[in-house]
Amino acid sequence: MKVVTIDMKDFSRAPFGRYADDGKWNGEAFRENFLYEHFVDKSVAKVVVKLDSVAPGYEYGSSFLEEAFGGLVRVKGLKSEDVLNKLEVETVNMDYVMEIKIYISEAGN
Amino acid sequence: MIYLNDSKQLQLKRGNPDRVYIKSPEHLCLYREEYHDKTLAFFDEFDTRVFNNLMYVELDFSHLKSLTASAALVLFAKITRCQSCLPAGYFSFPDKIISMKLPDDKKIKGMFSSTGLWAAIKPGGQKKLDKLWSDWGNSYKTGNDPSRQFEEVISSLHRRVGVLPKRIVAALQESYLNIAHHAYEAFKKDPLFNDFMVGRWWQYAHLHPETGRLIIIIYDMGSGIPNTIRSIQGGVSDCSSIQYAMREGITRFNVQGRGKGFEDIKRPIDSNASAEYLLVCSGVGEVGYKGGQIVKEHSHGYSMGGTLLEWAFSGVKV
Repeated sequence: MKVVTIDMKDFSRAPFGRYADDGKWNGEAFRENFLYEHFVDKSVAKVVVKLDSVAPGYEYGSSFLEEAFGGLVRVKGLKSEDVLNKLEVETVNMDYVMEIKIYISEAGN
Repeated sequence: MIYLNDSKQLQLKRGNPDRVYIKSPEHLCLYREEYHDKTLAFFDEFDTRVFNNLMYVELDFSHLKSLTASAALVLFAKITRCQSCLPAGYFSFPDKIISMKLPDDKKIKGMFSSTGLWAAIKPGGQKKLDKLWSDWGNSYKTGNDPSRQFEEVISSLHRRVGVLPKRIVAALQESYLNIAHHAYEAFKKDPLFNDFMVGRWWQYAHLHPETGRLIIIIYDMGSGIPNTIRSIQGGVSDCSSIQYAMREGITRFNVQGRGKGFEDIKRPIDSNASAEYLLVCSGVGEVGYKGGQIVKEHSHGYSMGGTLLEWAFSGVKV
């Protein structure tokens, strides 16, 4: 079983917004192009997402995080518990870990 | 020449017949009730002269005694809109639509230059505004493409302030998104709506080097929170509309997962010991937030003409 590591800097150093209308580096694009395929790939046991390789001083907004991670459940129809089991968020800011878990859980309600 | 004084009476003056002179109040301030409405009336006065009467104006600040941060930002917004959104063909020198007489008071005059206000409002057009982005020492910025400009916003704040209060960058990000999604929605179908204004925001960020007081303000000239929220909340006071919008999960879009933006906007106040307040001004309403609750609510007599968000922090390390 594989472990896939996704480093945010490979997507953007300043992710922004929810949809394409908000700009190129939006949450939907990150979900569709970086996250989703690994969550439906049964050979992948863990998806590690490194959040901290963004521009100095950058902070994630709820729109990006909710659309990227909550959207796996809300839009793509995955089960909250499956996403939570497979996802590992790497960051020094534990607020983001909590926030992402909440978005994924809420999306399943 | 036509002269407009505080009482708004027109007086003919000799000289250039095309330029209207408008005298500013002695205090341009949106914080104190006694100055608030006069300040906004002054802004509306020159706005009306430019866009409705299609006249060049001269703003006379010679008697100005005080200028506060939010008033200065709205002044920047109103002037640059005049400079950038004129109807084509009416003016030979559109970027000179507004000339200014600077304050006599040396301290106030010095403030115009030291904060970058003069560089931001002086006669000029898009090039002048673009230059503000490369001048990281200037407190004033304006933009309308947040995804492209967001890295520059962070970078300029970082260079000006150093370590920023927690969650302020996320709050700015959600504020820009609110502006992009909601603020100008009502105007988008108007054929006269100028491209310059699509998603346009104006920003002020200043760290006082001695006191460590940090003020960050964002202003847009959209339809305002009360007008946007009224469609889902019904007709009530502007203050209650603002408070309603500040609650978690409130969104005009009936989509699960949305409506979290205002939580991000409040979070810098909840997450930093140095936080003083968040002020939300929209329509005629003004709502203050601190320590997880609404601490101030006031209805003014004059509309803000959009929405202003102000975060204040004290004792920020310089």
